[in-house]
Amino acid sequence: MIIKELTIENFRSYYGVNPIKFKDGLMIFIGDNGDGKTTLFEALEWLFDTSKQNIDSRLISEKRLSELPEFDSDTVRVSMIFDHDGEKIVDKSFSFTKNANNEIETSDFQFKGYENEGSQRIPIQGGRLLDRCFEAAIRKYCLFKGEENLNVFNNPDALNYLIETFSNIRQFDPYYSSDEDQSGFTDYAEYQSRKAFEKAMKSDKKNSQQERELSLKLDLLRRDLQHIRQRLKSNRTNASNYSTKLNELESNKEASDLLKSINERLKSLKEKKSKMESYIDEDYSIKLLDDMWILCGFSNIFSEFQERVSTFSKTKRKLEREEDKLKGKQELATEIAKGIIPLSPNIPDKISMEEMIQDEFCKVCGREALEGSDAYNFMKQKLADLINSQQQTEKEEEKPLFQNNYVKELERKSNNLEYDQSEINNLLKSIKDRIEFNNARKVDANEIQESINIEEDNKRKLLAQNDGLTEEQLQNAYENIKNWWDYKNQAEKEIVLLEKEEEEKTYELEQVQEQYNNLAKGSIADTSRKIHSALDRIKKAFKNAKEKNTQDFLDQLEKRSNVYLEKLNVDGFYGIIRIIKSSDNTARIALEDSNGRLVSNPNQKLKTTMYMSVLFAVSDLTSIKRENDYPLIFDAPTSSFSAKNEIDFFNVIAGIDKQCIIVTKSFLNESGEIDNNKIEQQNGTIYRMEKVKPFDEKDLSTIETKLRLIKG
Amino acid sequence: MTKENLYDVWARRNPTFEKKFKETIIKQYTEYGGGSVDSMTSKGKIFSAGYEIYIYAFFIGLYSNKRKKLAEETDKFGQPIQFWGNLDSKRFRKAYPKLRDYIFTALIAKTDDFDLIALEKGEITDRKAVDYLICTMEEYANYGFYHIEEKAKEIPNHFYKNTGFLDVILDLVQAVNEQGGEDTIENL
Repeated sequence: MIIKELTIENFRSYYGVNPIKFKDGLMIFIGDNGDGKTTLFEALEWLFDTSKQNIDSRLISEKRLSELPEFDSDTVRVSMIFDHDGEKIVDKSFSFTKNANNEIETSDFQFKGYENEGSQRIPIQGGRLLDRCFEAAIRKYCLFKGEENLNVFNNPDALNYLIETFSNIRQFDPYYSSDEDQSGFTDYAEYQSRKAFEKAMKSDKKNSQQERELSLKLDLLRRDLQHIRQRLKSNRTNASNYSTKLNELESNKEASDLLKSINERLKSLKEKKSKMESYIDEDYSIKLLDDMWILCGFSNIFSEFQERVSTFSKTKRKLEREEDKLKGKQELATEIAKGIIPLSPNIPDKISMEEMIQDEFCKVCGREALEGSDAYNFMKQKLADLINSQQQTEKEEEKPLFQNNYVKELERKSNNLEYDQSEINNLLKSIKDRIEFNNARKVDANEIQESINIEEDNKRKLLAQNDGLTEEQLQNAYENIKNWWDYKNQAEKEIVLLEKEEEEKTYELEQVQEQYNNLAKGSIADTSRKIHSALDRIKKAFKNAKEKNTQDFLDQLEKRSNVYLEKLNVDGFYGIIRIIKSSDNTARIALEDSNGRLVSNPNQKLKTTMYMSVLFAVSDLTSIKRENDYPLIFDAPTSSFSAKNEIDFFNVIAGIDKQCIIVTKSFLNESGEIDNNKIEQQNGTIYRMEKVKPFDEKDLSTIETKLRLIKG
Repeated sequence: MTKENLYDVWARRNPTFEKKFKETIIKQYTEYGGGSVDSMTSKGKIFSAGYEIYIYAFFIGLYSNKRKKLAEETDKFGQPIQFWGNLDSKRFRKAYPKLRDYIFTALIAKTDDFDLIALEKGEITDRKAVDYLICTMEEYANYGFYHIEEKAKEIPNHFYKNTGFLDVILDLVQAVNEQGGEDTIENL
């Protein structure tokens, strides 16, 4: 089936009649959020639904509804012209009427179909036509919304469904079924012939004793075997369940290890950052006082202070000298008047003088100086002068020129502070250095913050990939892992034992059966034995053929999937797709590397390409079976892709011989405009879908989607 | 008879400021009127004691070399100058007693009315001499307060930036140094 034209009429944002021409190969519909991408997808979904009559009034275009006059009617319609052994049409519609009070009534659901036969157009019920050309089973593998719903084997029955629908396995159903109900012909024939054979044996009186013993043994063995097989089945189910759980855990464990290492790195980065920040001291205002930065302009003022103190000091000394001179001159004058400049009053000293007066002898000139003589009186006077001179200071202090000595205080202050001047002069440089230091540390801290941001981003991505799991859950030690591992191991051990037991019992059964058969030889039951033996072989042949058929189908699916995977991943690692079938007939898609190791948690892009490869392969296989292809329709399948990856990816799809319809936000730049460079690089048919402007974003009735062909 | 140091006489004084600055500046940027250092950052306070902004304002006037006579009602701080900068009991702060000496020397340098010779001779009392010094101090600080007020009006959050107070000082120092042709610091 190839879609040739789709017409959407009054369906949600598609106002009026909107015919869209389709081509084979890749078709891309580009639209921003709310431009009607998903609506296009939903219109197809609505059309393809052959199970019910959905005439929900929410499907009606709000715009059409708002302008519809009271008691007037119009139609919602989605119709499709497609090629499938000739041109065919399906057309689904219902009418809607606006009643009093703006009540909406929907009615008249119609699902019509037409097929051309020669030049004639023959009507046929739409649902029937669609089911015939595009059966429900295929539709399962056709419409995909978002990136998360691509895994077709998420549904446990999917594999069975796929195999039964698209392999040749169904052809075996009338002849062989593995079920207990023995609905297949060979099951039935084998069973009946065995019953007949056993009946014939029982009727043979000659061997009745032996027959009884052997058939009792056979019954027991068959019962045992059935029991063993049941246990085997349940153990296999267990082993596979625990193995799946462990696999999930394994990827979680990887994620948890990853999370642990991210958290460790984050912790060390944050410590580094806070250490770096601890170096930053930007309390500049406080430093003005505590570190006396405020003195950074003080040098001149201090010089001024020193000059002023020194000027005061000089002035004071000068005044003192002048005063001294004045005093000195007066004293000098009296002495000079006597014609002799006397010795200092200190010479000779007071003790010597007193001694000489006591001895009445001048020991300076070596002559007698008796009491009452001139010489004696001179010495007495000299001693009196000396004593007098020693008391002079006290006398003078009584009325000094300067009573105070604040200059001394100020000079001391000047000297004390002088020590710090080099520091004060350096303050501007210190301030500059400190600010530069702080800024450099801030740059360092910012760099660390960038690393922190990257790690936190990684963490978010990691948690997003393990959706449904909280950080705490991931962090928790996997206590279950040991239990599950034990259960799985136990089940696997059991399986080995049971398989051995099964083998032994089967062998034993065969032996007893052979004895039983031998007993029949030459007896009246021999013919029945031969019939049963032949039918039993036929049954086994069918069984093997059916199994091989299934395996062939899966092998083919795997092989084709890998061809697509290689094409879709033009660069980077992609691995090998394995479709793993479990004993309970479910399957899962897994990725292996070339060494046969499972890739436990492929990235989203790889997952998407992996699932899409399987989808393309399914489509291939079904088209071989049906001799007819069908379109694959994806809504936003590449949201995890980078822009470059997307274009490569779309171009690969464009090269695949398959109608593939993708609605996407890609090719739009940040302001929502088409990126023409990207469009040029892209092969295929491209439509742009857009809301008709102007519109009121709060009013649905102003929203109308228009489509415009921009390439192809 | 031993005379008291001039510095000590000065340091026992309590300089005044125009009362209006109490609300508009002092309470804005200091913990004046209560609060601890711990609560300081939460309230957006920058300095602890009220006199700290006074010292800052004084240096603004000093470096601008501009005085402004005090008008209107005046007020003063609880602590006389001799206790200014004794902050050892405050968390995260260092004491800066020496800054008082520098303020004192600046006042000696800048007070023209201060006549040391007359003081030495005993023609004026130490009290009178210190009056002149305090007057200089108050007038410089008063100019500084007006300057701060104007700047805050111009850019309301200026002084709440890390470099707010520092920048004003550096600008003034740079202006002075440019006149004097000395080393400059680039504008922050």
